[in-house]
Amino acid sequence: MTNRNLRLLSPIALLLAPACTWAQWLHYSSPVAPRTNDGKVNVAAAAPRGQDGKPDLSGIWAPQPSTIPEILRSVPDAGSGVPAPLGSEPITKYFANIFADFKPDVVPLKPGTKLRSDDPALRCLPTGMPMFDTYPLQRKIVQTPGLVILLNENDNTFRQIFTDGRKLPEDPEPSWLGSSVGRWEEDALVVETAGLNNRSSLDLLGHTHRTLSPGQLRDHRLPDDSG
Amino acid sequence: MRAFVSFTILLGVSAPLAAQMQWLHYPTAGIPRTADGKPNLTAPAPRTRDGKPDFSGVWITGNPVVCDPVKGLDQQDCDAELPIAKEAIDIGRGVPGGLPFQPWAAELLKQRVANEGKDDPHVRCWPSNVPRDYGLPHLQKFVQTSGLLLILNEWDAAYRQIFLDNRPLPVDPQPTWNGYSSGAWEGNTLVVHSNGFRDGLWLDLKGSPLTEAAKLTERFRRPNYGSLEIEITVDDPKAYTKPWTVTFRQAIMPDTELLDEICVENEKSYQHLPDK
Repeated sequence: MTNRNLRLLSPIALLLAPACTWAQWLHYSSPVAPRTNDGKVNVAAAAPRGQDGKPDLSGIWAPQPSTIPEILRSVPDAGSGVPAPLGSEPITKYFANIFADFKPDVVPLKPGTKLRSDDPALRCLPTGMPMFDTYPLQRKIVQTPGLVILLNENDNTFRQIFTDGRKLPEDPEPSWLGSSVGRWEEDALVVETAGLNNRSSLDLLGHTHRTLSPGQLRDHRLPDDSG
Repeated sequence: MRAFVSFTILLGVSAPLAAQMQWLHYPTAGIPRTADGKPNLTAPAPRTRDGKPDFSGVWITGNPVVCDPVKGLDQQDCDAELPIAKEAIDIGRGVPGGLPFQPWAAELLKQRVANEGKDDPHVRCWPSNVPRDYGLPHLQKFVQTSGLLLILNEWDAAYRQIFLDNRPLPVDPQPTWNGYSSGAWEGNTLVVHSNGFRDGLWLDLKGSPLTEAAKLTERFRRPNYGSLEIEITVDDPKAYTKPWTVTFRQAIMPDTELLDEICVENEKSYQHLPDK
Protein backbone atom coordinates (compact mmCIF):
# COMPACT_ATOMS: atom_id res chain seq x y z
CA MET A 1 0.00 0.00 0.00
CA THR A 2 1.50 3.29 -1.09
CA ASN A 3 1.96 6.33 1.10
CA ARG A 4 -0.68 8.18 -0.93
CA ASN A 5 -3.20 5.42 -0.33
CA LEU A 6 -2.47 5.57 3.39
CA ARG A 7 -2.85 9.36 3.30
CA LEU A 8 -6.30 8.97 1.79
CA LEU A 9 -7.37 6.37 4.31
CA SER A 10 -6.26 8.33 7.33
CA PRO A 11 -8.86 11.07 6.81
CA ILE A 12 -11.50 8.41 6.21
CA ALA A 13 -10.67 6.76 9.53
CA LEU A 14 -10.57 10.12 11.31
CA LEU A 15 -13.86 11.29 9.85
CA LEU A 16 -15.67 8.03 10.39
CA ALA A 17 -14.26 6.83 13.68
CA PRO A 18 -16.43 9.02 15.95
CA ALA A 19 -19.57 7.95 14.06
CA CYS A 20 -18.57 4.30 14.16
CA THR A 21 -18.01 4.28 17.88
CA TRP A 22 -21.18 6.06 19.01
CA ALA A 23 -23.83 5.48 16.35
CA GLN A 24 -26.70 3.16 17.28
CA TRP A 25 -29.38 2.87 14.62
CA LEU A 26 -32.86 3.19 15.94
CA HIS A 27 -35.06 0.29 14.82
CA TYR A 28 -38.51 1.61 14.03
CA SER A 29 -40.70 0.19 11.27
CA SER A 30 -41.75 2.82 8.78
CA PRO A 31 -45.54 2.73 8.52
CA VAL A 32 -45.51 3.96 4.92
CA ALA A 33 -42.84 1.79 3.32
CA PRO A 34 -44.20 -0.83 0.86
CA ARG A 35 -43.58 -4.36 2.07
CA THR A 36 -43.42 -7.85 0.71
CA ASN A 37 -45.54 -10.68 2.09
CA ASP A 38 -42.87 -11.53 4.61
CA GLY A 39 -42.91 -8.00 5.99
CA LYS A 40 -39.65 -6.83 4.49
CA VAL A 41 -39.42 -3.47 2.77
CA ASN A 42 -40.09 -3.91 -0.94
CA VAL A 43 -37.24 -1.90 -2.41
CA ALA A 44 -38.37 -2.80 -5.95
CA ALA A 45 -41.81 -1.26 -5.53
CA ALA A 46 -42.80 1.77 -7.57
CA ALA A 47 -41.53 5.09 -6.28
CA PRO A 48 -44.17 6.90 -4.21
CA ARG A 49 -45.63 10.10 -5.59
CA GLY A 50 -46.87 13.30 -4.02
CA GLN A 51 -50.25 14.90 -4.53
CA ASP A 52 -48.78 16.81 -7.47
CA GLY A 53 -47.89 13.54 -9.17
CA LYS A 54 -44.18 14.09 -8.81
CA PRO A 55 -41.92 11.45 -7.30
CA ASP A 56 -41.70 11.73 -3.53
CA LEU A 57 -38.04 11.59 -2.55
CA SER A 58 -38.82 11.40 1.18
CA GLY A 59 -37.02 8.74 3.14
CA ILE A 60 -33.73 7.88 4.77
CA TRP A 61 -30.94 7.28 2.32
CA ALA A 62 -27.34 6.17 2.31
CA PRO A 63 -24.89 6.43 -0.56
CA GLN A 64 -24.82 3.33 -2.69
CA PRO A 65 -21.53 1.78 -1.63
CA SER A 66 -18.75 1.08 -4.04
CA THR A 67 -16.63 -2.02 -3.79
CA ILE A 68 -13.21 -1.78 -2.24
CA PRO A 69 -11.53 -2.35 -5.62
CA GLU A 70 -13.67 0.46 -7.12
CA ILE A 71 -12.63 2.83 -4.36
CA LEU A 72 -8.99 1.92 -4.70
CA ARG A 73 -9.17 2.34 -8.50
CA SER A 74 -10.56 5.85 -7.96
CA VAL A 75 -7.49 6.82 -5.94
CA PRO A 76 -4.41 7.52 -8.04
CA ASP A 77 -1.42 5.39 -7.20
CA ALA A 78 -3.58 3.13 -5.07
CA GLY A 79 -2.09 -0.07 -3.79
CA SER A 80 -3.73 -3.48 -3.99
CA GLY A 81 -4.38 -4.11 -0.31
CA VAL A 82 -7.85 -3.97 1.25
CA PRO A 83 -7.84 -1.28 3.91
CA ALA A 84 -9.36 -2.48 7.12
CA PRO A 85 -11.19 0.76 8.06
CA LEU A 86 -13.18 0.56 4.83
CA GLY A 87 -14.38 -2.97 5.41
CA SER A 88 -17.83 -2.16 6.81
CA GLU A 89 -18.68 1.43 5.85
CA PRO A 90 -21.05 2.29 2.98
CA ILE A 91 -18.52 4.39 1.15
CA THR A 92 -19.04 5.55 -2.40
CA LYS A 93 -16.04 6.03 -4.64
CA TYR A 94 -17.21 9.60 -5.22
CA PHE A 95 -16.54 10.36 -1.56
CA ALA A 96 -12.94 9.41 -2.19
CA ASN A 97 -12.72 11.01 -5.63
CA ILE A 98 -15.57 13.05 -7.06
CA PHE A 99 -14.06 12.49 -10.50
CA ALA A 100 -13.94 8.71 -10.12
CA ASP A 101 -15.84 8.19 -13.39
CA PHE A 102 -13.83 10.70 -15.39
CA LYS A 103 -10.93 9.76 -17.55
CA PRO A 104 -7.87 11.57 -16.22
CA ASP A 105 -7.55 13.70 -19.35
CA VAL A 106 -11.07 15.15 -19.01
CA VAL A 107 -10.98 15.98 -15.31
CA PRO A 108 -11.53 19.79 -15.22
CA LEU A 109 -8.44 20.68 -13.23
CA LYS A 110 -6.62 23.91 -13.75
CA PRO A 111 -3.04 23.41 -14.85
CA GLY A 112 -0.70 23.12 -11.93
CA THR A 113 -3.55 22.52 -9.47
CA LYS A 114 -2.45 20.97 -6.22
CA LEU A 115 -4.81 18.81 -4.24
CA ARG A 116 -5.31 19.97 -0.67
CA SER A 117 -4.38 17.85 2.30
CA ASP A 118 -5.97 19.96 5.04
CA ASP A 119 -9.65 19.20 4.65
CA PRO A 120 -11.56 21.74 6.80
CA ALA A 121 -13.86 18.92 7.88
CA LEU A 122 -10.98 17.49 9.90
CA ARG A 123 -11.24 20.66 11.99
CA CYS A 124 -14.99 20.16 12.42
CA LEU A 125 -15.87 22.77 9.84
CA PRO A 126 -18.79 21.81 7.58
CA THR A 127 -18.15 19.33 4.79
CA GLY A 128 -19.93 21.53 2.27
CA MET A 129 -21.02 20.50 -1.21
CA PRO A 130 -20.97 17.94 -2.75
CA MET A 131 -19.60 15.95 0.19
CA PHE A 132 -22.91 16.63 1.94
CA ASP A 133 -24.31 14.13 -0.57
CA THR A 134 -21.44 11.63 -0.72
CA TYR A 135 -20.53 11.44 2.96
CA PRO A 136 -20.84 7.83 4.18
CA LEU A 137 -23.59 8.43 6.74
CA GLN A 138 -27.34 8.45 6.37
CA ARG A 139 -29.35 11.42 5.25
CA LYS A 140 -33.09 11.99 5.43
CA ILE A 141 -35.08 13.74 2.75
CA VAL A 142 -38.29 15.48 3.83
CA GLN A 143 -40.23 16.63 0.78
CA THR A 144 -42.97 19.20 1.26
CA PRO A 145 -44.81 21.46 -1.19
CA GLY A 146 -42.36 24.19 -2.05
CA LEU A 147 -39.42 22.86 -0.07
CA VAL A 148 -37.23 19.78 0.04
CA ILE A 149 -35.11 19.45 3.18
CA LEU A 150 -32.11 17.19 3.50
CA LEU A 151 -31.06 16.21 7.02
CA ASN A 152 -27.55 14.82 7.30
CA GLU A 153 -26.32 12.71 10.18
CA ASN A 154 -22.90 14.16 9.54
CA ASP A 155 -22.65 17.27 11.70
CA ASN A 156 -26.41 16.98 12.37
CA THR A 157 -26.86 19.55 9.65
CA PHE A 158 -29.51 20.37 7.06
CA ARG A 159 -29.82 21.73 3.59
CA GLN A 160 -32.86 23.42 2.03
CA ILE A 161 -33.85 23.12 -1.64
CA PHE A 162 -36.62 25.58 -2.50
CA THR A 163 -39.06 24.26 -5.10
CA ASP A 164 -41.51 27.16 -4.87
CA GLY A 165 -40.43 28.76 -8.11
CA ARG A 166 -38.04 31.28 -6.62
CA LYS A 167 -34.86 32.14 -8.45
CA LEU A 168 -31.38 31.82 -7.03
CA PRO A 169 -30.37 34.97 -5.12
CA GLU A 170 -28.45 37.41 -7.28
CA ASP A 171 -25.88 38.24 -4.62
CA PRO A 172 -26.04 35.41 -2.11
CA GLU A 173 -24.24 35.42 1.19
CA PRO A 174 -21.50 32.80 0.66
CA SER A 175 -22.12 29.70 2.71
CA TRP A 176 -20.84 26.16 3.06
CA LEU A 177 -23.90 24.60 1.41
CA GLY A 178 -24.92 27.50 -0.79
CA SER A 179 -28.44 28.51 -1.78
CA SER A 180 -30.40 25.89 -3.73
CA VAL A 181 -33.50 25.97 -5.89
CA GLY A 182 -35.06 22.99 -7.62
CA ARG A 183 -37.47 22.35 -10.45
CA TRP A 184 -38.94 19.21 -11.92
CA GLU A 185 -37.98 18.00 -15.37
CA GLU A 186 -40.47 15.17 -15.68
CA ASP A 187 -39.42 12.78 -12.92
CA ALA A 188 -36.06 14.35 -12.26
CA LEU A 189 -35.60 17.05 -9.63
CA VAL A 190 -33.00 19.39 -11.06
CA VAL A 191 -31.28 21.40 -8.35
CA GLU A 192 -29.11 24.44 -8.93
CA THR A 193 -26.88 25.76 -6.20
CA ALA A 194 -25.08 29.05 -5.99
CA GLY A 195 -23.33 31.03 -3.32
CA LEU A 196 -20.89 28.38 -2.15
CA ASN A 197 -18.05 29.81 -0.11
CA ASN A 198 -15.61 27.51 -1.92
CA ARG A 199 -13.85 26.64 1.31
CA SER A 200 -14.72 22.95 1.44
CA SER A 201 -13.09 20.05 -0.32
CA LEU A 202 -15.00 18.11 -2.94
CA ASP A 203 -13.65 14.75 -1.87
CA LEU A 204 -11.06 13.08 0.29
CA LEU A 205 -8.42 13.28 -2.40
CA GLY A 206 -8.47 17.04 -1.97
CA HIS A 207 -10.13 18.41 -5.08
CA THR A 208 -11.54 21.84 -4.29
CA HIS A 209 -14.22 24.12 -5.73
CA ARG A 210 -11.64 26.26 -7.43
CA THR A 211 -10.95 23.36 -9.78
CA LEU A 212 -14.60 22.70 -10.67
CA SER A 213 -16.79 24.22 -13.36
CA PRO A 214 -20.37 25.10 -12.38
CA GLY A 215 -22.57 22.00 -12.65
CA GLN A 216 -25.77 20.41 -11.49
CA LEU A 217 -26.62 17.72 -8.96
CA ARG A 218 -29.47 15.48 -10.01
CA ASP A 219 -31.78 13.65 -7.60
CA HIS A 220 -33.65 11.03 -9.58
CA ARG A 221 -35.45 8.19 -7.84
CA LEU A 222 -35.50 4.97 -9.84
CA PRO A 223 -37.41 1.87 -8.66
CA ASP A 224 -34.28 -0.20 -8.25
CA ASP A 225 -32.55 2.61 -6.33
CA SER A 226 -35.28 3.00 -3.73
CA GLY A 227 -33.90 1.66 -0.50
CA MET B 1 -24.90 39.54 35.52
CA ARG B 2 -21.64 37.64 35.24
CA ALA B 3 -23.22 35.13 32.90
CA PHE B 4 -24.52 37.99 30.81
CA VAL B 5 -21.07 39.53 30.68
CA SER B 6 -19.79 36.21 29.36
CA PHE B 7 -22.49 36.21 26.74
CA THR B 8 -21.65 39.77 25.82
CA ILE B 9 -18.11 38.70 25.02
CA LEU B 10 -19.37 35.85 22.87
CA LEU B 11 -21.89 38.05 21.09
CA GLY B 12 -19.38 40.84 20.75
CA VAL B 13 -17.13 38.56 18.76
CA SER B 14 -19.84 36.97 16.68
CA ALA B 15 -21.78 40.19 16.07
CA PRO B 16 -19.42 41.31 13.28
CA LEU B 17 -20.28 38.12 11.44
CA ALA B 18 -23.98 38.74 12.00
CA ALA B 19 -23.62 42.34 10.88
CA GLN B 20 -22.07 41.18 7.61
CA MET B 21 -24.98 38.89 6.89
CA GLN B 22 -27.54 40.04 4.39
CA TRP B 23 -30.96 39.01 5.53
CA LEU B 24 -32.77 37.61 2.57
CA HIS B 25 -35.97 39.47 1.85
CA TYR B 26 -38.28 37.04 0.15
CA PRO B 27 -42.04 37.33 0.60
CA THR B 28 -43.40 34.32 2.43
CA ALA B 29 -46.12 32.71 0.34
CA GLY B 30 -49.60 32.41 1.72
CA ILE B 31 -49.30 34.53 4.84
CA PRO B 32 -52.20 36.82 5.79
CA ARG B 33 -51.53 40.48 5.08
CA THR B 34 -53.14 43.75 5.99
CA ALA B 35 -54.39 46.18 3.37
CA ASP B 36 -50.97 47.81 3.20
CA GLY B 37 -49.29 44.51 2.45
CA LYS B 38 -47.72 43.95 5.84
CA PRO B 39 -48.02 40.56 7.53
CA ASN B 40 -51.15 40.41 9.67
CA LEU B 41 -49.74 39.06 12.90
CA THR B 42 -53.12 38.91 14.62
CA ALA B 43 -54.78 36.82 11.93
CA PRO B 44 -55.96 33.36 12.97
CA ALA B 45 -53.32 30.66 13.09
CA PRO B 46 -53.08 28.67 9.86
CA ARG B 47 -54.23 25.10 9.87
CA THR B 48 -53.17 21.94 8.11
CA ARG B 49 -55.34 19.77 5.88
CA ASP B 50 -56.44 17.76 8.90
CA GLY B 51 -57.52 20.88 10.76
CA LYS B 52 -54.64 21.07 13.22
CA PRO B 53 -52.75 24.29 13.93
CA ASP B 54 -49.78 24.64 11.62
CA PHE B 55 -46.64 25.80 13.43
CA SER B 56 -44.63 26.21 10.25
CA GLY B 57 -42.69 29.44 9.95
CA VAL B 58 -39.49 31.19 10.91
CA TRP B 59 -39.46 32.14 14.59
CA ILE B 60 -37.45 34.19 17.11
CA THR B 61 -38.02 34.87 20.78
CA GLY B 62 -41.17 36.82 21.58
CA ASN B 63 -40.02 37.75 25.07
CA PRO B 64 -36.83 39.66 24.46
CA VAL B 65 -34.56 41.39 26.90
CA VAL B 66 -35.19 45.08 26.46
CA CYS B 67 -32.63 47.19 24.67
CA ASP B 68 -31.90 50.17 26.86
CA PRO B 69 -28.58 51.96 26.28
CA VAL B 70 -29.06 54.02 29.43
CA LYS B 71 -29.10 51.00 31.70
CA GLY B 72 -26.08 49.49 30.03
CA LEU B 73 -24.91 45.95 30.75
CA ASP B 74 -28.15 44.83 32.38
CA GLN B 75 -29.98 45.08 29.11
CA GLN B 76 -29.73 43.75 25.62
CA ASP B 77 -26.88 44.95 23.50
CA CYS B 78 -28.62 47.58 21.39
CA ASP B 79 -26.42 46.79 18.41
CA ALA B 80 -27.39 43.13 18.33
CA GLU B 81 -29.32 42.13 15.23
CA LEU B 82 -31.42 39.49 16.92
CA PRO B 83 -32.97 39.58 20.39
CA ILE B 84 -32.29 37.20 23.23
CA ALA B 85 -35.03 35.99 25.56
CA LYS B 86 -35.04 36.76 29.24
CA GLU B 87 -35.41 33.03 29.83
CA ALA B 88 -32.27 32.35 27.81
CA ILE B 89 -30.26 34.23 30.40
CA ASP B 90 -32.10 32.84 33.43
CA ILE B 91 -34.62 30.14 32.63
CA GLY B 92 -35.98 30.12 36.18
CA ARG B 93 -36.66 33.86 36.39
CA GLY B 94 -40.40 33.35 36.28
CA VAL B 95 -40.61 30.19 38.38
CA PRO B 96 -42.12 30.97 41.80
CA GLY B 97 -39.38 30.54 44.37
CA GLY B 98 -36.78 29.96 41.67
CA LEU B 99 -35.61 26.65 40.29
CA PRO B 100 -35.76 23.79 42.83
CA PHE B 101 -32.10 22.77 42.57
CA GLN B 102 -30.65 19.69 44.17
CA PRO B 103 -27.82 20.84 46.48
CA TRP B 104 -25.06 19.80 44.06
CA ALA B 105 -26.81 21.56 41.19
CA ALA B 106 -27.15 24.78 43.19
CA GLU B 107 -23.43 24.64 43.98
CA LEU B 108 -22.60 23.97 40.34
CA LEU B 109 -24.65 26.96 39.28
CA LYS B 110 -22.72 29.21 41.68
CA GLN B 111 -19.44 28.00 40.17
CA ARG B 112 -20.66 28.57 36.64
CA VAL B 113 -21.81 32.09 37.41
CA ALA B 114 -18.53 32.79 39.23
CA ASN B 115 -16.44 31.72 36.23
CA GLU B 116 -18.67 33.67 33.87
CA GLY B 117 -20.02 30.71 31.99
CA LYS B 118 -16.64 29.69 30.68
CA ASP B 119 -17.72 26.06 30.35
CA ASP B 120 -20.93 26.81 28.48
CA PRO B 121 -20.99 24.44 25.49
CA HIS B 122 -21.80 27.44 23.32
CA VAL B 123 -18.43 28.97 24.09
CA ARG B 124 -16.79 25.93 22.51
CA CYS B 125 -19.20 25.95 19.56
CA TRP B 126 -20.67 22.67 20.65
CA PRO B 127 -24.25 21.85 19.66
CA SER B 128 -27.14 23.71 21.20
CA ASN B 129 -30.15 22.06 22.81
CA VAL B 130 -33.79 22.40 23.65
CA PRO B 131 -35.20 24.39 25.36
CA ARG B 132 -32.55 27.15 25.40
CA ASP B 133 -32.81 27.26 21.59
CA TYR B 134 -36.20 28.92 21.94
CA GLY B 135 -34.58 31.91 23.62
CA LEU B 136 -31.19 32.36 21.98
CA PRO B 137 -30.67 34.96 19.25
CA HIS B 138 -30.87 32.55 16.33
CA LEU B 139 -33.72 32.06 13.91
CA GLN B 140 -35.45 28.71 13.93
CA LYS B 141 -37.63 27.42 11.12
CA PHE B 142 -40.47 25.04 11.90
CA VAL B 143 -41.53 22.76 9.05
CA GLN B 144 -44.61 20.74 9.91
CA THR B 145 -45.74 17.67 7.99
CA SER B 146 -48.36 15.12 8.95
CA GLY B 147 -45.85 12.84 10.65
CA LEU B 148 -43.02 15.16 11.60
CA LEU B 149 -42.33 18.58 13.05
CA LEU B 150 -38.90 19.60 11.92
CA ILE B 151 -37.03 22.43 13.63
CA LEU B 152 -34.17 23.91 11.62
CA ASN B 153 -31.77 26.02 13.68
CA GLU B 154 -29.45 28.63 12.24
CA TRP B 155 -26.91 27.76 14.96
CA ASP B 156 -24.54 25.44 13.15
CA ALA B 157 -27.32 24.67 10.66
CA ALA B 158 -28.61 22.02 13.04
CA TYR B 159 -31.95 20.27 13.12
CA ARG B 160 -34.26 18.63 15.59
CA GLN B 161 -36.99 16.12 14.78
CA ILE B 162 -40.29 15.81 16.66
CA PHE B 163 -42.11 12.71 15.39
CA LEU B 164 -45.88 12.97 15.10
CA ASP B 165 -46.52 9.36 14.06
CA ASN B 166 -47.44 8.06 17.54
CA ARG B 167 -44.15 6.27 17.99
CA PRO B 168 -43.20 5.51 21.58
CA LEU B 169 -40.05 7.05 23.00
CA PRO B 170 -37.02 4.75 22.89
CA VAL B 171 -36.52 2.63 26.00
CA ASP B 172 -32.74 2.84 26.11
CA PRO B 173 -31.84 5.79 23.91
CA GLN B 174 -28.39 6.80 22.81
CA PRO B 175 -27.90 10.13 24.64
CA THR B 176 -27.95 13.13 22.35
CA TRP B 177 -27.94 16.92 22.59
CA ASN B 178 -31.63 17.20 21.74
CA GLY B 179 -32.95 13.87 22.89
CA TYR B 180 -35.74 11.97 21.21
CA SER B 181 -39.14 13.55 20.81
CA SER B 182 -42.61 12.23 20.05
CA GLY B 183 -45.73 14.36 19.97
CA ALA B 184 -49.50 13.97 19.87
CA TRP B 185 -52.37 16.41 19.64
CA GLU B 186 -54.62 17.31 22.54
CA GLY B 187 -57.17 19.53 20.87
CA ASN B 188 -55.24 22.47 19.43
CA THR B 189 -52.19 21.80 21.59
CA LEU B 190 -49.28 19.69 20.43
CA VAL B 191 -47.91 17.80 23.44
CA VAL B 192 -44.35 16.57 22.94
CA HIS B 193 -42.47 14.22 25.23
CA SER B 194 -38.69 13.92 25.06
CA ASN B 195 -36.04 11.74 26.65
CA GLY B 196 -32.54 10.57 25.87
CA PHE B 197 -30.63 13.76 26.67
CA ARG B 198 -26.91 13.60 27.21
CA ASP B 199 -25.54 14.69 30.53
CA GLY B 200 -24.02 18.10 31.09
CA LEU B 201 -26.42 20.26 29.07
CA TRP B 202 -27.05 23.90 29.92
CA LEU B 203 -30.52 25.41 30.05
CA ASP B 204 -29.47 29.06 30.12
CA LEU B 205 -26.46 31.37 30.15
CA LYS B 206 -26.24 31.19 33.93
CA GLY B 207 -25.63 27.48 33.65
CA SER B 208 -28.77 25.83 35.02
CA PRO B 209 -28.05 22.15 34.37
CA LEU B 210 -29.95 19.46 32.49
CA THR B 211 -28.86 15.87 33.09
CA GLU B 212 -29.29 12.53 31.34
CA ALA B 213 -32.17 11.80 33.74
CA ALA B 214 -34.28 14.59 32.29
CA LYS B 215 -37.62 14.18 30.60
CA LEU B 216 -39.21 17.18 28.96
CA THR B 217 -42.84 17.86 28.13
CA GLU B 218 -43.51 20.68 25.67
CA ARG B 219 -46.93 22.07 24.88
CA PHE B 220 -47.07 24.04 21.65
CA ARG B 221 -49.90 26.47 20.99
CA ARG B 222 -50.32 29.07 18.26
CA PRO B 223 -52.76 31.76 19.49
CA ASN B 224 -52.58 33.67 16.20
CA TYR B 225 -50.53 33.91 13.05
CA GLY B 226 -47.70 35.91 14.60
CA SER B 227 -47.07 34.13 17.88
CA LEU B 228 -46.25 30.76 19.33
CA GLU B 229 -46.30 29.65 22.96
CA ILE B 230 -44.18 26.74 24.14
CA GLU B 231 -44.85 25.67 27.72
CA ILE B 232 -42.06 23.38 28.90
CA THR B 233 -42.07 21.16 31.96
CA VAL B 234 -38.64 19.92 33.02
CA ASP B 235 -38.68 16.70 35.06
CA ASP B 236 -35.04 16.06 35.98
CA PRO B 237 -34.84 14.41 39.43
CA LYS B 238 -31.06 14.24 39.28
CA ALA B 239 -30.73 18.06 39.16
CA TYR B 240 -34.02 19.30 40.62
CA THR B 241 -36.15 18.28 43.58
CA LYS B 242 -39.38 18.50 41.61
CA PRO B 243 -40.60 19.25 38.07
CA TRP B 244 -40.92 22.87 37.05
CA THR B 245 -42.50 24.73 34.15
CA VAL B 246 -41.50 27.70 32.03
CA THR B 247 -43.08 29.27 28.94
CA PHE B 248 -41.12 30.49 25.92
CA ARG B 249 -42.92 32.86 23.59
CA GLN B 250 -42.00 33.07 19.95
CA ALA B 251 -42.58 35.81 17.39
CA ILE B 252 -42.81 35.03 13.73
CA MET B 253 -40.21 36.39 11.31
CA PRO B 254 -42.02 36.62 7.98
CA ASP B 255 -40.52 37.34 4.61
CA THR B 256 -37.04 36.15 5.50
CA GLU B 257 -35.00 32.96 5.50
CA LEU B 258 -32.36 31.18 7.53
CA LEU B 259 -28.69 31.93 6.91
CA ASP B 260 -25.47 30.17 7.81
CA GLU B 261 -24.26 30.61 11.37
CA ILE B 262 -21.32 28.25 11.74
CA CYS B 263 -19.89 28.97 15.17
CA VAL B 264 -16.57 27.17 14.80
CA GLU B 265 -15.81 29.20 11.71
CA ASN B 266 -15.06 32.34 13.71
CA GLU B 267 -14.80 31.29 17.34
CA LYS B 268 -12.65 33.78 19.20
CA SER B 269 -14.37 33.95 22.59
CA TYR B 270 -12.74 31.22 24.60
CA GLN B 271 -9.28 32.73 24.52
CA HIS B 272 -10.69 35.92 26.10
CA LEU B 273 -12.51 34.28 28.97
CA PRO B 274 -10.98 34.43 32.44
CA ASP B 275 -9.00 31.36 33.45
CA LYS B 276 -10.62 30.45 36.77
